[in-house]
Amino acid sequence: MEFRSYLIRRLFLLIPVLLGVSILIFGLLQLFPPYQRAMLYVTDPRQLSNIDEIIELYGLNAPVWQQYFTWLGQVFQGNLGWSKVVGMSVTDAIFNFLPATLELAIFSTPIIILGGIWLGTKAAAHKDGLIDHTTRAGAIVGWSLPTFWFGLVLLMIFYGYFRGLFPPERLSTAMSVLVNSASFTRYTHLNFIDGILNWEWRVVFDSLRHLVLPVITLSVVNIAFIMRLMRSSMLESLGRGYVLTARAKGLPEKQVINKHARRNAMIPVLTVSGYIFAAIVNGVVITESIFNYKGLGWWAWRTAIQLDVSSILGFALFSGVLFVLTNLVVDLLYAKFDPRVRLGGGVK
Amino acid sequence: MKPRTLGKFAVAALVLIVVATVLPACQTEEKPEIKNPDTFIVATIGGPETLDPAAAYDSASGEVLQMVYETLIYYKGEKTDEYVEVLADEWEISADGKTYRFHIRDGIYFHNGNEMTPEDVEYTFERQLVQDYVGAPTWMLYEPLLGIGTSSHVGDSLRPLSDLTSVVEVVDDNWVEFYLAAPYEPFIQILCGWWGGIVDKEWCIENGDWDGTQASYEALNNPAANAWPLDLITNGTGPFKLEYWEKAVEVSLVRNENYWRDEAPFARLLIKDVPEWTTRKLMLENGDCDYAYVPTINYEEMEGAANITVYKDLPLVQCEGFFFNYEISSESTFIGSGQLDGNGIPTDFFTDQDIRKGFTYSFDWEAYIDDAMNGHGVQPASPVVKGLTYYNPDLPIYSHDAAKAEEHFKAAFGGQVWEKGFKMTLAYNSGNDTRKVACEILADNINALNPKFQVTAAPQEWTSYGAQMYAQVLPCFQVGWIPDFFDAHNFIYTWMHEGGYWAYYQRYNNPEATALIEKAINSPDSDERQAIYDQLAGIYYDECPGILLVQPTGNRYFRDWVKGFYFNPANSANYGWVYELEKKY
Repeated sequence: MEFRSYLIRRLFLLIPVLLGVSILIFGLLQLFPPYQRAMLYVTDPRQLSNIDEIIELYGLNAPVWQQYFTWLGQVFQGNLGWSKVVGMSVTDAIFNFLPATLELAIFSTPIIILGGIWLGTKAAAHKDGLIDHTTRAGAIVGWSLPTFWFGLVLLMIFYGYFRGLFPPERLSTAMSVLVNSASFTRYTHLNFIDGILNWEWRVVFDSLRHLVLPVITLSVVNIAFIMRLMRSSMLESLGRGYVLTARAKGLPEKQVINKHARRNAMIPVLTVSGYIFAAIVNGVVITESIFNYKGLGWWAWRTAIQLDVSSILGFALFSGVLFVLTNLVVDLLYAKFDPRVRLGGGVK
Repeated sequence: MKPRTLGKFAVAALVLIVVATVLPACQTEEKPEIKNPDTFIVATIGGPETLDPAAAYDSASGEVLQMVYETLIYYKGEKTDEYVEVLADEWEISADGKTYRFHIRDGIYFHNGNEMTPEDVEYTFERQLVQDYVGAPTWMLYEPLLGIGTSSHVGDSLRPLSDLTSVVEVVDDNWVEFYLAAPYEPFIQILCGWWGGIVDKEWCIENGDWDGTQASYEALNNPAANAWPLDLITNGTGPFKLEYWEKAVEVSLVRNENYWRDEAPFARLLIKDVPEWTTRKLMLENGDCDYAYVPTINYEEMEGAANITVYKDLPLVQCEGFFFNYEISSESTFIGSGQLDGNGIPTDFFTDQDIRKGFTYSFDWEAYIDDAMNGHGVQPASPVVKGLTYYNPDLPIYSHDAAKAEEHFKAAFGGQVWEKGFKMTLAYNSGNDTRKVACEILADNINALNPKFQVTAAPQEWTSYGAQMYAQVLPCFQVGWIPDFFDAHNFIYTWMHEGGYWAYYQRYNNPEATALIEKAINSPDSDERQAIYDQLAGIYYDECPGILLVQPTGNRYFRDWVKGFYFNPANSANYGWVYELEKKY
């Protein structure tokens, strides 16, 4: 019961939070002069020469609160404007580019989280040993690598030097033509899943081959972060009484580390993992741009450099909502699985 | 670390090192095998905006449409003033230059199997006049055929449908005639554009396009952007047909197996949108594309690249101009105080010819073309640039001359400008380094003349730049023009006619120039036209309403297995006419 009322309370709290997000985003919009804000409503070149009419029509000179409700009304109707850069509505663009990014997130998040946890555990278990020093040094290097540089180097080596071993984009030419053909049904637009569903293993392997470099680029940077967090959390855990007890009971070291220490040390890591997943789903701008991997990040990059205002706002809104929802899920998981989190303020 | 684990690491490392050493060694110096021999792959930037030939007005759309649809006639090889018959097998122009007749070929079929008839030709042009989308190239038909500007509207009401349908008619024996309002020499070139691509009447009507009725005319006239029925679908007679268009990713065209001429040399033409330069470059180097778009700033990087064929210094028929705004908006934030008090400029600053000449003499073309264009361009003498009919190579040009600039600034506004100084900002669209350099050269050279001159350069986002240009807020603007057709009229009108695209936004209005332009276009006499365009070039030189910055030249980069490229500026595709390309050694 307690958990359910907590859940309901949190869901209600979402409303003011989301309103806050929308106000922030709308506030950002106010930083643009009316000319640029009017561009939000321009879907036609002919409108360009009548900017003043647009300003009048959409009340861009009206009081700010009035403009806010007009805009919010449009948002609730799913009208986020027209993304000129890609020639479709912003809503369509989000749904169009989301699957590619999801695919990237599905593959890189487990690597980042499991790899980070594994390395962090190893490092903590061998504190000040060779493994610890190597992984820590690796983490510092990985965390400090500029993504754009690392991605380009990977591309130059594995696509340039090794003549197309791991190519950019989402699919090779032949497979791209295949998935767009009438004989192939794109159920999810996640190529590897569609490949399996269509029983087309060439598509599955091809999409995996194209995922290698972007997934490595993302993993190297993020794994370092999780690894460091896991290591410190592990060290704290290893110094606790229950670990001492476990050791005193004569349990094998492997069991002490994996079952007693690691499980407890994982709680903060899981919290952060939620955000990492959300961040990747939100589009990894640089990685996707370098590999011409057309997901949300790629779209965000194109719209940002061309100041496609409606797309930028739509993207910001999507990101904001996604983060709020992820936050909720993480909090709920925390409440569910960490007995130290007390619900309702009472003493148990 | 346990010795066993160390061993695993060592083995893995060893394998990696061996692979890294052996793999490149396996590569031989022989010509690499031709990849995807039956597909022509293009890596470019951007994609089509629409597939409706009556609405598309961007070269990425044209690139696709020119493969899918066919025109009555087209430019011959590299020429822009000679033509070959395509869907027409015979054509003639009446002696008075007002009737154009085309005999339509028999036995040609659309991609859906319908036969192409003279009625389809008539419908194609009528449909376009009916749709008359404002952002479309339809003005090019209105001007010669109806003698009016760009719109079908008279006041608030629509022009009678019969006006539109009477300018093109099917006459007996498979002939189609166009009746012009007045002689209009470039009309034949206009028919070569993708907007002259013949559509299938029956199929159009099936898909909700204009059905010949008044009601349908009213419903479909000037629709909202991308709301036209043929936005996403195609059905032409061309060598390729549309397979799919995945927006922002790629367009795939496949060979038309029933093409009336020899079949296309490739089973598929794939046009990919790859905005990141390094990726495009690697794709070309790996042979994953056959042609890649290379921006001017990357030409040097491509010097000596292996397995690449470069076509260098192709004369692009384009002109980049710097325009002085004669009526700056008083709301402009680029003109300081808005007064001639040393801290700004008045809104009519550029109405003074001495100011315009002072600016022009301050521009250094040599530095600009060398620094900003890496030498890839020439200084134009007139808006009628090389490659257009009536181009004259013997016209005078300006050059950087600080003494003359000083002389003009001293004379401007009765000497007040020189005495009080002035302050203003030259805007350019951010990210465009060529335009940035032009502004900086101008600002530096002007500021060097007098310590009271304070000209600065500032970037503006493109959308904002455009909007501010339209709103008269920018005191000067820098924009270019690419041709709709290859007649002097297309450029001179844009630059000098009071209703011309750029002239209008700078509020340049010289009644003499406007009258001359109108006289020239309706003159059937080439000598007279030549004389008028030379006279107009003289007016532009004397009045100096803007600075003619550069006519760029360009390079094209192909894999060396691509053969058969020739340059015709009329091809929307930078890689030329795919129908005549081949992949072979």
